[in-house]
Amino acid sequence: MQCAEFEIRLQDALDRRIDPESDDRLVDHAERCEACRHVVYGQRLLLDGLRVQAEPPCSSHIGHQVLDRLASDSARRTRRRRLVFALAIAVALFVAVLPFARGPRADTATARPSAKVLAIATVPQPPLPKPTMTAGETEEFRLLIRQLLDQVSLRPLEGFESVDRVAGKSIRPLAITFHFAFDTLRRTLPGQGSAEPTHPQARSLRSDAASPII
Amino acid sequence: MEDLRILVKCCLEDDHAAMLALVDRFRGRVYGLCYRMLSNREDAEDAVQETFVRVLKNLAKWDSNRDFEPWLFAIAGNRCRTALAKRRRRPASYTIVEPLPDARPDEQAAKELTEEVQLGLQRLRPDHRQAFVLFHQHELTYEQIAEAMSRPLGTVKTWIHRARGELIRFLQEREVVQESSYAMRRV
Ligand SMILES: [Zn+2]
Repeated sequence: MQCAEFEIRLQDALDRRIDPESDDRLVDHAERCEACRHVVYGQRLLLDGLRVQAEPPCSSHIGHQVLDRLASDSARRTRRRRLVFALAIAVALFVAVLPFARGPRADTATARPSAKVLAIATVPQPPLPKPTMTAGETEEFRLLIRQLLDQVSLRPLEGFESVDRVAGKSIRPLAITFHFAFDTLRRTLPGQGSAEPTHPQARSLRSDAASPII
Repeated sequence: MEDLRILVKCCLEDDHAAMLALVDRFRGRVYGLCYRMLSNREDAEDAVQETFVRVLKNLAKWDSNRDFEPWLFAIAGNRCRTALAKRRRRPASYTIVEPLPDARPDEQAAKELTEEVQLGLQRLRPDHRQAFVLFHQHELTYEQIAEAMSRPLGTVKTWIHRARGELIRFLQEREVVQESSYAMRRV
């Protein structure tokens, strides 16, 4: 047997988890060839070294640490989901009331185009689509939105406050931000009694007014 | 295998006792791999923790018709490679092998041999090291290792052969393998 064949046969024995010294042909060659004998010896030492338990024992608390990690990961996911939900509601509300907030301004504040502009703009405009709500329905809807805005702007938003508690001082409190946004929207609705604006910085959401607005 | 399936089913139903039992059942073997890969107790324990967090989060993805250990060791191997990559980015010098506790004189030689082997393992490429440890210490088959490492069987076999060769050369360089004293024994 040549050394190359010995090497292949040795690897094959190890692959099949067979002790190389149980193979007579390997042993015959190794007895005559010093280099290959060293390889067999090295292999035996290597496997002996692996068999001895090398590692210090693993902590028995690992299981509880894993459960703690899972619980905190789950809590973090829940907080993130709540924040997204609160933001989605705020955006939806904002989108819903936006047309009503713009309504009266469009009637009163928009300047009429001059005769020159009218003369230049000769392209015929398609007829406007007919409103899908009757005047009574629109008024009813407007009242509902106003009631809703009255509710959300007259007391702190509880959902946001729980998010703010978690966020700490890292962002401007969402409860305050949205409170003022809704309050402003309420004031811009047509037919709203008070025309006098409230300066945001002059108000506090909290009855004790202890914490300054960030 | 059937009891493992039941255990996994209970874990999926958020049974904490079952989760603890699953971790307890495999922590020793996972830790064995992580310690061989990282050579540091704290890093190995962190990797074990990360492994089981991922295992429990992704347990529903395990195909119960296949062996559990290759799937488990695939996750553990990934965690170890991530830890090794982080370590490479760390500028400070690093303890390569933790010394084992002092042994009696008759155990001294075995202790030294174990430390030399562990030192030699650190010189291997991480993928060669992982394949070698899974074959020789965890006794996984080549097929299971190929599955755990997502590599072809032939590649895994080549890696293990190379790892053996490099480790023996390392032991010779360190004069752990000494020429005169050794005679072949017929088993
Ligand atoms: Zn030879």
